Parts: sequence; C-alpha cells; structure tokens
Amino acid sequence: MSGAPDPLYVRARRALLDALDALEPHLDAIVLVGAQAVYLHTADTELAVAEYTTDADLAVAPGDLADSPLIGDALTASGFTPRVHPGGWLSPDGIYLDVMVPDALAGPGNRGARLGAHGKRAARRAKGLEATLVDRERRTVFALDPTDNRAREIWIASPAALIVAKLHKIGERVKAQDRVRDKDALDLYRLFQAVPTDQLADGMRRLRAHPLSNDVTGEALVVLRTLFTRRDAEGVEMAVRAAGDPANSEVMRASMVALATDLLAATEE
Amino acid sequence: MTDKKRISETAALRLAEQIVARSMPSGWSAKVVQAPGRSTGSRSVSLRVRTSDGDTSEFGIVTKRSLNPMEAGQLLDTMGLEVTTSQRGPKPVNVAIIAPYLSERTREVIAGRGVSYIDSTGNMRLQTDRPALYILTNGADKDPWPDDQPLKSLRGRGAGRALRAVADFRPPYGVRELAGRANVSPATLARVIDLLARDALLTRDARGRVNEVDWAGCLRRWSKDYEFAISNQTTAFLAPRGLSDITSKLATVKWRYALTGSLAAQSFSPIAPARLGTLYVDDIETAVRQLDLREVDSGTNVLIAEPFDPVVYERTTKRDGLTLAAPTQIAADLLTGSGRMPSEGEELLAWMKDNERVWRT
Repeated sequence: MSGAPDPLYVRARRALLDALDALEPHLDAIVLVGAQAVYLHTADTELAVAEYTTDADLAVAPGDLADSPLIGDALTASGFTPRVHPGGWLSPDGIYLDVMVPDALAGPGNRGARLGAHGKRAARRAKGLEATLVDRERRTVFALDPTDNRAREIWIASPAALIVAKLHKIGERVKAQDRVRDKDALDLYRLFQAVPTDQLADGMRRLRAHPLSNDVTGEALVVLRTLFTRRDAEGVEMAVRAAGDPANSEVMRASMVALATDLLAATEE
Repeated sequence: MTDKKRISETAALRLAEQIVARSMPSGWSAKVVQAPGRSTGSRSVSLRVRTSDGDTSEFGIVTKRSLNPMEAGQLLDTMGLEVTTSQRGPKPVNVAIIAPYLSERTREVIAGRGVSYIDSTGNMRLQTDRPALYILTNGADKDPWPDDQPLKSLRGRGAGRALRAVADFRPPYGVRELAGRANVSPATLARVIDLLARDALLTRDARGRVNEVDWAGCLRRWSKDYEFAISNQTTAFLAPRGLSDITSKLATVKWRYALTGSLAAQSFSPIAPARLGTLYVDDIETAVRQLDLREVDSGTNVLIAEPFDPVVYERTTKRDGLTLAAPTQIAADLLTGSGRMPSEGEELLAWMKDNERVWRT
C-alpha cells in the first residue's frame, strides 16, 4: 500500500482502537485476528483490491479474562451497540466488531460462548481460533488518522495462526454450501504472498506441538490441500473471484498453488 | 577501414592477368583474350595459358564486382556446374571467376565445383588437367573494401550496439569519437550512420560529423529489425510472491542485471502498474534461484532475457535501488513487445522527449 490509506480503512482502525480502549483492562486476554491482523502482516503486498474488509475481529482467551469490567458493559459505555447474534457489535460510526472465543474453550452450546460472568452474548464461538491464542506476537497498532495520536501495544495472531483460522472459516462454508465470502480466500493469498514459507512452516510446527491447536492445525492443512493445491480448486476460484482482476487470474492461480504446495511440503519435513 | 573505393571489374580482370602471369612456371605465359564466336555475356573473354611446349588451355572468365557465398552458389548453378562428391575431389572445369575480393567461404564454394578463381588481393586457385596445372595462393583474408555494400538492416548485435550509441549520445560527434566513447566498432557505426542518414533520421555536416539525430525516429527504425522476444533469448517464469517481491530481492543481488519493459518504464512515465517484470541477466540459473522463480505452463509474470549484446547493461540508471536499462533500450523493448507494451513504449518516448536533459548522455 502506498500513499494515503483508504478512508474506510482509517475508520476501521479507529473503531478497533475504540474497542481496545473500552476493553483495556482485558487486553492481555485479547488477540487481534481477522482482516485487520492480516493487513498488519501484509502491508507491502501489491495486490490492489478496491474495498477492504473493515471488520475488527478479536479473539478472547477465557482463562485470562477478569470478571470485571463486563465486556458488554464496557463496549456499550463506549458507544458500541449489540447486534442480533452473540459477539456481534457495531461501532458508533458503523464498523462491525466481532468478539470471539475459540470453540475448544467456549463451553457447551452452538453459537454464544460461555464466558462466566460476562454471559453468553458478549462473544461467539469460532473453530480455528485456538491457533491464534497459541502463536501470537506483540505489535503496536497506530491510528491512521493524522489527528488521532493513539497507539496500543496488543497481541496479534501470527501469520500461521491466521492461516489456520481462515482455512477453518473457508472450509466450514464450503462444506455447508453456505454463501461463501470469497474475501477470506483473498486474505489467505495475501498472507501466503507476504510471509516467507519458512516462517509459516515454523508457525505451523509450533501450532502442531501445542495441545490446544494441534487438532485444528491438522484439519486446516487438510483444507489447504483440498481447496488450494490445484489451479481449478474451489479455494483458488474464491481468491480469483475476490481479486476481480481477470487479466491476472492465471498468475494468481499459479502463485496460490505454488505457495500452498510449498507450505505443505515444508510442514511435512 | 579504408576510404578507397572497390575496384572495377575491368581493373580486377587486368590485375588477375598480372597475378596469373607472375605465378606461371618459367617459359609459360598467361593472357586475357577475347573468346572467339561469343559476342555478348560475361564469358566473352577467356584466360589463355600457354606452356613452354606451346600447349594451350583456355579458361572461360566470369568477372564480378563482388560475390558472396550464396551468390557464388547461385551463379555456378546457373552455369550448370554441379557439386561433385568424388573421392578425388571435383573434376577441374576450365572456368575461372574473377573479382576484387572473394571471401574464404566464397572460395570454398567455387573450389567445391572444380572452378578456378583469382581475386585482386592474390587469392588464386588455378587448375586444369591439360596441360596439368595446379596453383593455389593466398591473398587477403579480409575484404579491403567492406563499405561497398550499404547496410540494409539494423538486425544483429553490432548494429544494435551502434544504434544505441547514436540514440544515447548527444550530437555533434564524429564516427571515430562516438565509436570510442560508446566502445563500438567504427566500421559498423559508420554503416549504421549511413543507413540512418539515407532514412533521413540524422544529418551530417560537410566534414561528415553527425550534427542532428532524430533519436525517436532511430528507435522506431531499429524496432523494425530488432524484436525483444526474438533478438534476445527469453524464458518466462512465475514469481509467486509477485513483482514487489522481485524488486525488493533485486535491490540486494550482487550480480549484473538490468530491468526493462513495463516494470522499468513505470519508474519514468506514468503507466498502469506493471503486470510483467522483464530483466536482462547474464546467468538465468542464478536469477531463478535467487529470485525464487518457478517454471509453470501458464500464468507467468517474469520474463528473463539473456541479452543480444552487453550494451543492455550500458548507460543504465539507478532508481529506488534498482538498475534500469537505458530509456532507449526500454523503449525499443516495449515498442516490439506484445499486448499493451507498444503503447507503453509510446508513453515512454513522450516522457523522453520532455526529459531529454535527464537521460541523454
């Protein structure tokens, strides 16, 4: 990315910092995941897409969470409004915030995560996020608006963990023949392009070695093999559609297949 | 190089007579005579050799102002002189070809048909069965009159190198001066300048110094004979992490390269972001390894070229840590490229017109 950032992305970053301000007492239990985390890892890739995924996605580690302040109260007090489904919030200027708990740590239930004192509507459960609690790094996130001086050091999921989480999201939707959001596949492509294969493979090995993330990582790599190692595979199609750049589609297909194949080979070494 | 003009057919014939006469065994003689009974045509004269015993032999003479190997073959074909493949070599035919200069290859072609030859520099092969005579002498192995044939094409590395010099350097300059500055062969440069002058793409003063060059016209003229994908040895690859990854890797490599094509042009003139990275390298293997390039059937985004001549590495510019080929080279490569490249070449020419001070040496 070069020049001034997209105004929508500036707003999305502001909403993220608003949410982090509101949840400050819990920051040790929170990891930035999703598209905003992807962009922090891929700022240099050249792939130009007109619209950004602007959602702010946060993963919560229930074991590290204090009982107060309540997540719901803190967000509401900062102007966020709850949406219909558990964990879904809307920022004052219309940016979606998703608060999620890894499925393995979310207790019984289908949708809402059981978060003790925080109730079962503050966050939703999502499979694959286990990895983001295991492989993560500290990063300082700055406001993109020049008049906003805020900066916060937070946990951000590693590229390998983000790949595992994205692959679960893509795999579930393809399996359920749900209306798939192609952009998840494009985010995956961005990560593969931006991060050296060795670094991703090291991350995958760390994830395989940890009991919390071992299973979801194994499943994710199966999804990777199934959906991304042939030029006409469904995941590759999704990424190509999301890029909306037919003239470049053969290069994208070839690149995605080459990089996915490289990672699988490096992970199996 | 010599300024002497190639000698005429008549002069070549006269010289041949003297050369043969000097080589005769003592008591023998050689003389050019009008062949009786033949009124017209190139074989109307013959060379008569007389032995000390009074025996004579006559060679039918064909005189040419110049003769390259291909023309020699065609000439002998029309004379019905076949290539013979007998163990003892071709049977001598009493025909001699005379020219100011015959190259080694031309001489081989002629001798292969059993035909004799004499050039004005002393290359001679004279053979006949009756009386038994065989003379072989060597003269010059380089044409003393190389400028006789005007250059018709800018194809080839020497012409390309010379063309780049003419376009890159700001006139006025003389041939020798420019040849020295740009390290090109003066003979080739002179021929290229002649061609460009005939096409009215440059002008010379009374002393022959080039004083004005239509460099854009010269590049367009070059692009009729030069073609990026054919003149250079190119191979297409996939850079799976995209062109930004390639440029950041190139900023740190230790080997010689020059970027050309759209990726290089976008550093100079505003064009759409490049889809294809094109670069000249000396060693493809090293480039493939260090830039992490992959061989794929389709979906390539990098073109590696082994250059037609090292001139592609000359007068390069450094921008953002990258080595870019000279704008004249990039323009010629784009003008002869595919897809939207020719129009990008036009954009670059427009930028070059507005920024001549920046790029011209």
